[in-house]
Amino acid sequence: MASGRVVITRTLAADAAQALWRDERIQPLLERIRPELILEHTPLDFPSYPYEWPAEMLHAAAELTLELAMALLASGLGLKDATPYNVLFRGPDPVFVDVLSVEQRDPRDPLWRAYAQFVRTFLLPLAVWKRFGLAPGEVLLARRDGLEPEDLYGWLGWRRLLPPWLSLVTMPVVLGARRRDDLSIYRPRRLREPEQARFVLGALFRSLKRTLRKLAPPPRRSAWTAYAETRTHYSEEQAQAKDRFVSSALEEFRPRRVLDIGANVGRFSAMAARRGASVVAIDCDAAVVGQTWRMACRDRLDILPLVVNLARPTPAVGWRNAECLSFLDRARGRFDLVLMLALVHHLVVTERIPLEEIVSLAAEFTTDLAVIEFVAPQDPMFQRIARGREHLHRDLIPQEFESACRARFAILRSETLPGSFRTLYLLRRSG
Amino acid sequence: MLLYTDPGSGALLWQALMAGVVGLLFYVRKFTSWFRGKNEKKDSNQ
Repeated sequence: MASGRVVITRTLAADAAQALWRDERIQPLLERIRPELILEHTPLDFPSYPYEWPAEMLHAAAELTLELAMALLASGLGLKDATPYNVLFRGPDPVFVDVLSVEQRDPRDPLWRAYAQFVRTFLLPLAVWKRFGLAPGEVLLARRDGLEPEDLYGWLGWRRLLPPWLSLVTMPVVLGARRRDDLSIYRPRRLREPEQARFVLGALFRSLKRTLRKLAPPPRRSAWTAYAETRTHYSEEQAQAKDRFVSSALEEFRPRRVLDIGANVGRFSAMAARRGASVVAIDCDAAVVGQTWRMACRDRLDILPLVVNLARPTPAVGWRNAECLSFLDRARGRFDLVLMLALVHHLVVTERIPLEEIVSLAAEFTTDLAVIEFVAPQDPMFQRIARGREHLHRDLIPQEFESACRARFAILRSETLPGSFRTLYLLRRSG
Repeated sequence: MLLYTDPGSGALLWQALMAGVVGLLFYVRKFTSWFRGKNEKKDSNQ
């Protein structure tokens, strides 16, 4: 806990516990389970879910889970489960939050009962990303408990004889098929000596660590990863003017919580984080979100990068859609400043979202400010993504955008980048 | 110890198989360190 890698947890103060007992929503649950102890942990600023993480973050969560399991082994303790849902992120750092997962271990039991879950929810999604390029988010959104070895066995063909598939998929499938109805396999196994059980578990954890190291996601390239470096649609002068506009807004208002939508590799997120803001940076491209995470770790910046497509934001998931909140429910009213840079034209052209809707959603996220870049149809990037459909957006002029803004915001200032069709707006929420 | 999470079936058997092999290595290692210790003792006595 002292290192911050496990969430700080304490016994709930007596008056707070009594308040819980008086809460009509919670009282029935407490009466049913009659808890001896109620714990609370320090809240983390913005909860995120494994299906919003790039592979890099899933890998970091797996490392933390395994390191914790290894550290507990020496104290006679263990983890009863090993799922990414036990981990949240504070900025780019994983934090283990499910302290109730820690239990007293049977000292002579040589098996880690959470092994299969660790494989299903961490190792197989990482292996599938590395080998087939299927993002972990796509797997974990639909499957809370990850990938079963049986799911993959058919896809692998001859590769099933190669590592890591041989031990993670093929052997479990072959062995499991023979003993499918044999319930005796779930009976506890005990060795003669606790020291021997600890030796076996230590070897298992080291072997998992080696596998995990081999599954470390390499930096990936996508259509958007080189966007910030090349930025051919901005001249040097335009890029500098844009940087100046955003940094002056950050300097002037010093927002504490920033949402950077369409963050790409996090250039402006870093700008905000360097000025002391806590930033949530979202982008729909898993490769750029992975790069942002690496940058935030390297430069020690308070940036939480997430794979979220604003046009199709993470839905509420789980039983009655109530186990995990949607992205919008978590983000509404949580930020002092929203950045939407070089994004609006993508939403208008590719997703066909009306301007008023885009501005309205920005106003739902922020309690105070927004910086939005408007890109007119004459812009070369606009034309590239419109692909001959510019006539559909003939009416898209700065005045129309400004009128959409005025319904929700006051325009504090605006600046057209020199020699371009791009205008930046600094907006303050009205009403 | 009660199971909390789905332990899989094949994955559990594979882990048990590996645990058996590594469990044997534990005794091999114990024997070799005992044997080495015995030889070192003999050497130091000479």
